[in-house]
Amino acid sequence: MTCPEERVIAFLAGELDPEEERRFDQHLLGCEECWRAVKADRAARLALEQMRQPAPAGLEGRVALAIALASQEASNSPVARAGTGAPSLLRWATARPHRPRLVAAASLVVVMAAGAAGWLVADRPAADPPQLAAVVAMMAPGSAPTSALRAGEHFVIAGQALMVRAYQLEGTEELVATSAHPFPVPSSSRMLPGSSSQAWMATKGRLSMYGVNRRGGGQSMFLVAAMPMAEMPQMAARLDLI
Amino acid sequence: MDDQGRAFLEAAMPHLDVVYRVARHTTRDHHHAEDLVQETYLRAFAAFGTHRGPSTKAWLVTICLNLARSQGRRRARRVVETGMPEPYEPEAPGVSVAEEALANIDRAAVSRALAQLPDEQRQAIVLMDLAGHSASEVAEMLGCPRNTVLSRAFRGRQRLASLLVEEDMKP
Repeated sequence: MTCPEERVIAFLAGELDPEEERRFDQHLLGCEECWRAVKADRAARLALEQMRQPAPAGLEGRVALAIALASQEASNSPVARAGTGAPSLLRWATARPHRPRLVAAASLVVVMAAGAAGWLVADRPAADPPQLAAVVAMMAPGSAPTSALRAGEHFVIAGQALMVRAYQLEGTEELVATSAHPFPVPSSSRMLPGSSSQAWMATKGRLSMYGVNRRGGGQSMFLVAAMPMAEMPQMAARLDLI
Repeated sequence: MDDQGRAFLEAAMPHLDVVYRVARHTTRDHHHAEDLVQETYLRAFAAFGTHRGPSTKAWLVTICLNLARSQGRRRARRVVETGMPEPYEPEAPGVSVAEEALANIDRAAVSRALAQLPDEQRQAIVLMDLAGHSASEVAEMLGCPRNTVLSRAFRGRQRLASLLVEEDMKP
């Protein structure tokens, strides 16, 4: 610009004193360049106003679930044992009716929390890692692939990046989560012998869980399926993921 | 969920829209933006006990920016802070801005134009015009002078208006 840019910026920010502003108003009447800059700034602000859109509908539920799981891990007390998990999530999500999208988000949270809580109701001595709880929640009846937590996408749960995929093998559906970092091992799992990897298995109701953590790097895997636990390692090997 | 979790959600969730807007225009697509928002909230929750700042919104947005910058996400746009003045190229003379037309321009067109701005100009605009922060707040977040923030936002808006006029004039 020929004229000092700082003056235009100060004028637009409303930071000129009254006398300076009066003089700049006069200046604008005769300076096409400054007048065009002022108009462009105002036009851009107007256009940008429509970009103040809300977050996607499912995001609130997804974030709330992640925080609930992280909170549960931090306090190391099972949601079901504390007796406040799902209801408190529901209360929180529905307590603000001025956000219409919470209708969808709330039902999602109920399904998710119910899935996670159902798992934790089982006889387990301690809370299970949130990464695994989130994947298992996807397998719970009625909560499989939703708009907020879909198989085939990347997630970051409790600071760990996961890729979750759904597979259909011989009529059985399973969810497989892979990660560049080892998965936390559930406290009540059964460890399996292995020289190049740390493997474990556990059950939750009709679901079997199987995890393989690679020693010294490589993709680690966590698999959940409604099938006999003994068949899990064989099934995992057929997936050819690690 | 324990009291800490509930207190965090009460304090942080009202700012979800703003954090998402910042994330959306810091990453390439909405999937990555949603991941970034979730990670921001998890990081914030982990540090919630030590948060003493006056503005939870500014605190969350700063965590979001730092995550986007430090993690070097493979598909994220780079957020660069050079502290150097950017060369200013005046818009072509003769392009007059039709304010009414730009106010009604398609949101997708604005998003495309915003994506074409240099990182530091887009960041200043996103933090001021979309997230609603003052120039002083943005200066504190980015660790640069307030005048630099105002200058970046001004230049970015000039460029944005020019890009939108070009878009509007397309057959």
